[in-house]
Amino acid sequence: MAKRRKSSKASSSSLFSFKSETIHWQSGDATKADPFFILVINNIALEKPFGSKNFVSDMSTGSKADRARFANAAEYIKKNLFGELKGQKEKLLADSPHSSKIKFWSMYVWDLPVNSASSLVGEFDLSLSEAIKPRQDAVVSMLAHVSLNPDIVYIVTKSTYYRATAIPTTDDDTRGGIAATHDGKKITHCYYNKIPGMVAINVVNDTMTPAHEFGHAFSSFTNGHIVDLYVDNDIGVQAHRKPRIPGNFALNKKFGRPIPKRFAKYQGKNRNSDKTRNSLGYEAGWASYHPELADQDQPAVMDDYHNTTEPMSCLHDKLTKAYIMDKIVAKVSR
Amino acid sequence: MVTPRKPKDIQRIIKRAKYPSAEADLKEFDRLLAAETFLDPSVEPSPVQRREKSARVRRLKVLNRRLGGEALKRRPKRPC
Repeated sequence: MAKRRKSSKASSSSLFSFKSETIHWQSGDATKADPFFILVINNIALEKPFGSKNFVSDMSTGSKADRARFANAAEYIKKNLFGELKGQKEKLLADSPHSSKIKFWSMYVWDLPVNSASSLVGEFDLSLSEAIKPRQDAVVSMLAHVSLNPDIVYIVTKSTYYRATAIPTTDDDTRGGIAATHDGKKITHCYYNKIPGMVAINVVNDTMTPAHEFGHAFSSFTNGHIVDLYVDNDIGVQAHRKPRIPGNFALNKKFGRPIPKRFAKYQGKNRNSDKTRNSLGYEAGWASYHPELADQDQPAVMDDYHNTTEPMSCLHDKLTKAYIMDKIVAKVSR
Repeated sequence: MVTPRKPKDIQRIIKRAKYPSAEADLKEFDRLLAAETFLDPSVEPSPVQRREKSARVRRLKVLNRRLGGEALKRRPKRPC
């Protein structure tokens, strides 16, 4: 893989100085000042548990071994997002004709104090969750300090909790985008974000986790939210309770029985429902249903992709994939 | 929005919990956990959302304890 490694020592205003090593895995559209940008960064301090203000050292030694481990994780994420892993059927970003315009960098930062500012990930306070989540405010501050403005950021941690969590993008609805329609409602694939989509992810990765979390992080709080399909929660319905949250609706999940033939009308085109959730089946008592699968023999990437003998064969459902492809067009054309 | 659990991890938790409805409780736990991440953390929640969140967190704690998880201890607040 063609990549360019760059080491540097940078210092910012008055808050802190740090060392960093950046790998340019893919440079993206060189004609743009602000191409669609995905960044992978290491987590310096881990908050245990989330909200406790108890910070412990995470991936921050700066040692050659630590940097190599981080680079391996970044490479896995890159390969998964661009459909390059062995046996991977979902080509995701590589399916877009604009995939070469996407900038993909990783940045390992060290020589920073272990504190709230350098803690980009926290562990959920209930151990059964086994989940890590991004500390959104700290991530935004850190990106400002390292002078990077990604659309999506993956934060890599060595936490013993293995379940990754994503926060969708907070779109900047004031700066335009490409208009789209979903069930007659106008939505916008925005050019810019106010807060990037972010993913807290373990350094040990396998199967389709980066691609699954990308689905969440690339979706939007105000223009369609790609949600988990392996749980039967009514979060899409909650969003329409009072007070309403405009636009915050589950794009890929609906509720009701019997399951209708048509799931949604997206961009003027009818999209069918997945009537049977083929390889897994809708569980008794479930009220939710999903968009039509692209491969009837495997769960969708946003569903329980672990629950199959061939997780690398999982594809996004047809509606989610169309939505992601359209969002890429907006990001690369700004 | 949380990554799904691997089947072997589900089995580990159910085996450790040793009661008949452990699997259903674990599913409810994960359903509530997913709902926790639906709202935009950068937006102040409404009173309704705050109430829903409190109820969700209370139920999550019950399920966590029942299934053998620990509530990680938070540091005591320093006196002002």
